[in-house]
Amino acid sequence: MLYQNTIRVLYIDMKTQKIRIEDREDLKKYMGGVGVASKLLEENIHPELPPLDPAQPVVFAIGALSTIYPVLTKTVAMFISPLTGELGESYAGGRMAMCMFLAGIDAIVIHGKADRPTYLAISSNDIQFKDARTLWNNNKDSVGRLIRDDNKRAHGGKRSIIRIGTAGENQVSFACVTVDRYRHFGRLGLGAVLGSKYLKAISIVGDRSVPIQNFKRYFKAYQDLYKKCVTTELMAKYHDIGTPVNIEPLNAAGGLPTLNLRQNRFEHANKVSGEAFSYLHLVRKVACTGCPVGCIHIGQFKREFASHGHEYETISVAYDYELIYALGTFLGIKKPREILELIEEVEILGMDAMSTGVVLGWATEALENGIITQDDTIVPLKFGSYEEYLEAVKYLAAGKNKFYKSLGQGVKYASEAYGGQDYAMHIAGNEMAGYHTGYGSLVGSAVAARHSHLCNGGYAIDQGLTDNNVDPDEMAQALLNEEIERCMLNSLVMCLFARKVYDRETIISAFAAVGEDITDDELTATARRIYATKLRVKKALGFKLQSVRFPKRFFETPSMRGVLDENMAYEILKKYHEKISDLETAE
Amino acid sequence: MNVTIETGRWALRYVEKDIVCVNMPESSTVMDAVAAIGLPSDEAGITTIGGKAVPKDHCLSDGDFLKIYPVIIGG
Ligand code: SF4
Repeated sequence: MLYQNTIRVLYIDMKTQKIRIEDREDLKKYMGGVGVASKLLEENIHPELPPLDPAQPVVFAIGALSTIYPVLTKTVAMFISPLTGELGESYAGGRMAMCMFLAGIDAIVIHGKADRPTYLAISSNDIQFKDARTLWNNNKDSVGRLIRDDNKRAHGGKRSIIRIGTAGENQVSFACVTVDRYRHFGRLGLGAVLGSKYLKAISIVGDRSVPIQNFKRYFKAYQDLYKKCVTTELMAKYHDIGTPVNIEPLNAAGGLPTLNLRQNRFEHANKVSGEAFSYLHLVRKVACTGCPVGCIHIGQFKREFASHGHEYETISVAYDYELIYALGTFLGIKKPREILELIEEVEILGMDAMSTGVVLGWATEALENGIITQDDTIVPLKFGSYEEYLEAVKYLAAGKNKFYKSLGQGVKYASEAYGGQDYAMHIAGNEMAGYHTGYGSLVGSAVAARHSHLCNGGYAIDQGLTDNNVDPDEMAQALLNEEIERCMLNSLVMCLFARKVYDRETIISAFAAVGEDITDDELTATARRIYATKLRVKKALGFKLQSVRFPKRFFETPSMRGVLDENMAYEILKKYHEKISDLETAE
Repeated sequence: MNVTIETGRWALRYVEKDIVCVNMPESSTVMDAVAAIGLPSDEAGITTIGGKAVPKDHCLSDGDFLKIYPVIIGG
């Protein structure tokens, strides 16, 4: 907590409705964010129980300097992932971090299962367990509205509402949690974990103020950072076209996963490029609270909502590269409007878009190959045919039949049940991200603590290579260095788009301006300590890096760095494993 | 020699036009072309000539159509 030597943790038991607050000095060495959350996860997990057992915890944490500096906007959630069965870690922007900060809470640990659907209303001096039976089965927009109506007190915008959709209620393994209007804890199934606790939503009101000490020094540090964000080119591209700018270079380079990764290029890439989305649908850009950049691109489309009478509504949807990849190129959808409609439906139902696109890509190919039939899929899934996908996502969220229930447990699970594992595009159980760029992205996601491309940015390592020759030891070391450094960055819970803004020197100055002297060596030690904690959690949950097996297709469809060699991928994995063997004990 | 260089609208923050014809000295490289149009070197991602990827130290020829893509961005 700012200006304190402690981390304030709020413990909530959904079953007994008991709460407890602890101010913990011992957690300060984890700085905040993912550091504190990893330690709290380690303390509270029950490795012998399944991920959705009521006893398993969910942890939310904000960073050591959240809200008081630009772009430190995110909250981290940690849990046991129902998708992978091991370390679950997910980040969301929006207003949540600010509201936790202004409510005076650094971290929240939630246990137990409520007796009936419940939503939590949290403020600095009050925690209420509210009846959410009328919210259950409602989508994210209605839930937000109903909670706002239920709490009419003015909050001056300092309220954040997070909620699950029907996919979370039905415990789809990749159900997400929507934060405010446009942000999500997307990956690894936090929505299912909240659903398993009968926890439909959490509203957090930041009703406290924290006076800044030594304002002059702080303001100088703030302004330096602000200027770096808005007057240099470091963040401009995120605001301009945003991440959809990636479609064209990835396509040109042969790294754009298309048609369930049968192809590394999409012949209609120019129609779904960032330019195309901007030209056809972009209406505004919005920002997480505390971010002067504003990278959230909002696209709009018009939809008829009555079968007769010419009644139309205008739908606003946030889009970015990963969504265009997963619900566009991966499924062969070539019209931005259709992609936006799919994004909207997936979001309303409360599922992770990347996992949804990847499981549907596999199902489409499995249907073509006769492994499954239309009795399973109900609709004739076909690459490029969005109306069927629009239906299928509803069946997926509802767990409509045995097949969709399996698919709702992820592509690894479904392909083990039905076959087609060679083209079930997951890495260690997590559906692939939109980068078939080389060993960095492939092995990077396997070794990544949460099997996300965001753990070590392997695609960026691939992009930085000067040729296609890879030294396995160097690649493993590059991935490890980045993974560890990001543990430190995520203890501040910054938006990773801003990682070049927050170099080490800047971070040290930002701490110093609020009276905390921290050295470069301490940042390194903290990063290692956090990573070690994650490794211990993974070990306790039974994860073995040596057991990771890559689907064959990764080695058949050329990547941005040419056709990848399976032996080389496993060699890099082995090298990485050797490098982390002594890290678990780092204190 | 004359080289046609296309970026795309993403580059308009740095360059005046998204497609230009530039006269370059013989044996100029792709990187020289990037500099010639005023694009910061770290903003240039994959580069292609006639749709085929070429490295940044590739020597250009008269009449080449060079396309410069943005770098891949993300978290
Ligand atoms: S750059 Fe985008 S995602 Fe990051 S903090 Fe700003 S608005 Fe949020």
